[in-house]
Amino acid sequence: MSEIMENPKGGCALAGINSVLGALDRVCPIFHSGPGCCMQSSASEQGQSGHKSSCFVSSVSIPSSNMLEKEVVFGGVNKLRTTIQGAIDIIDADAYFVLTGCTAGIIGDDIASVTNEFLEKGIPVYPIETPGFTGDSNLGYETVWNTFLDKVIESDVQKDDKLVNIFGIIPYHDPFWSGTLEEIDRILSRLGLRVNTFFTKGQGIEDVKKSSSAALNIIVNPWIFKGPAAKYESKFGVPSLRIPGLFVGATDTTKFVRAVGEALNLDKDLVEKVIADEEKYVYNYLGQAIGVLSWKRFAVVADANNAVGFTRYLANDYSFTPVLVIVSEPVFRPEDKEAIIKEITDLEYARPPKVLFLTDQYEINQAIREEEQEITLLVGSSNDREIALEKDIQFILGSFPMSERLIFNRTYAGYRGSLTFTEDIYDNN
Amino acid sequence: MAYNIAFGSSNGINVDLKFGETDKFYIYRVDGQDLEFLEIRHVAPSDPSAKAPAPASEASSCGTGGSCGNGSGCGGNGQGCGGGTEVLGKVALIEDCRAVVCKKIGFQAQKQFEKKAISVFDIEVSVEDALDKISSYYYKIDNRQSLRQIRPAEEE
Repeated sequence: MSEIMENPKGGCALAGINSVLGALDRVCPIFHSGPGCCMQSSASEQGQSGHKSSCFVSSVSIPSSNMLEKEVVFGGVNKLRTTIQGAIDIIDADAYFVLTGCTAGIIGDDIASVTNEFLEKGIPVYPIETPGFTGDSNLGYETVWNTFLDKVIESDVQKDDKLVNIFGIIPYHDPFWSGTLEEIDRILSRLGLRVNTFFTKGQGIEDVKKSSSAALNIIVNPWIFKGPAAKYESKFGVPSLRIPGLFVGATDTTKFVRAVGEALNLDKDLVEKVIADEEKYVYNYLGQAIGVLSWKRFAVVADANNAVGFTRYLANDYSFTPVLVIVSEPVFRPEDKEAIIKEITDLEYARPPKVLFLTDQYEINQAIREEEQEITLLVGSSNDREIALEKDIQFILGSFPMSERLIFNRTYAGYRGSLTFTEDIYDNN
Repeated sequence: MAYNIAFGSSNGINVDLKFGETDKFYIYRVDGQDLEFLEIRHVAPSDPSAKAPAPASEASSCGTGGSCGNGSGCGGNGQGCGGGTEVLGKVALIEDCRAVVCKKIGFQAQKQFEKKAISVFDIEVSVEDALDKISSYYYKIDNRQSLRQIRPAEEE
């Protein structure tokens, strides 16, 4: 069942939960875990994501019950109680979430009974009873939203037919998350929509609480967020629109805008006007630099969302030749794999690339090393730079983990992001 | 393998004394899951000539006052780099134990126990309860059993 993985791209469920909570403004995670979990779970996600980390609390500033042998033997709820009280005294947050480390998960501390004591006093402290060992950071993202759906989101809110929620872009697990969310926000705002990105524009727990008033959930990801999406629909009647992969460049972004327009029955003229306007903006720039990039035979190593986006842009919009695409996050359900493969291989005119699902760095390197067809461009993470150097392939740092670039609001997604992507390919970043 | 646990207690029923204030330790012997009261070890009130005492011996550390200075040579109660001589004496008194349980145990003493790989539990609890929990914890880790506890809610 268990096996050793070289250089995993991401952390445990706890790390994923910590990243998502860290990206929400004025939300404080409280770890009920051994000492070290705060730092390690921050380092494994935020620490490898373009040198940007949560500035409310993160890493060593996160409150932790620091469970040791005594708590293992006698239970840690008393220490958790004082830790929560300490956090409330010192950190002025809008909401506190108690996270479960492996230690607490194994000995089975009843954290909900402790958080309820605070909730009864009117202090917003919520339990997240998913210990780190349950899964990876993708699971952490879904876990947070499941917790919000069960405990935080309000049901008696006025419906707003112009409000949409964006899901599928995981903070810090996607280094371009804030830029991508801002680009989506920008495009959808032009359609007259109000957008809950939850993690940008200073949005926080209040926006989460009112997210049940949205007219549509837009999930920009080929496979993540199925469970929470179903719960949104059954509990709050918010339907979902799944965009089967990140849209990079004019072709896919236009498809995305049309899909949203149809789902919400927006004014067709307005939708087409925005599309025409945005496309003109992109093609005007591309037109000014025709032929600056030489033709490439490319490979991509990235999470499913970005792998779809990069491959489709480079093959469909830029007519590069796709050779090999490695989806480097753990995907288990066969139907998810099929959906991802379909998006990557269903290209306009290019021959479909070979698609592999590999998470182990040794296997990723071997796959690239032993690829018989020539590769002249590799879009990958910091971990994949080594094999690119070895094979003397042009390398673009475009996926998680990313430790050699500073990323604020840069993105490769959407209309404008595709221009940035193209610039970076020229720069041989 | 059998081992001993030391309790700082005034009456043998509750762990109600701090490490610093206890003058005797209740020693229990644990063999697998069998528990047995072994003895009470008294901390000798004052014996300036004593060096670090042998385990389980009644002879104990130097005094509570300013009469130390022997032994490690540095410092007095809790101020020296070797730890207070009184602390060292008390630690030596129960150094054959696997764990020590007191209401509170200071940092100096904890470090001294750590050096000897003796687990420290500073908690207010009944001796029976502590004995039960600690022995079952050691039993599980010695026999490579999972510490996982299934809460009633999860069994449903």
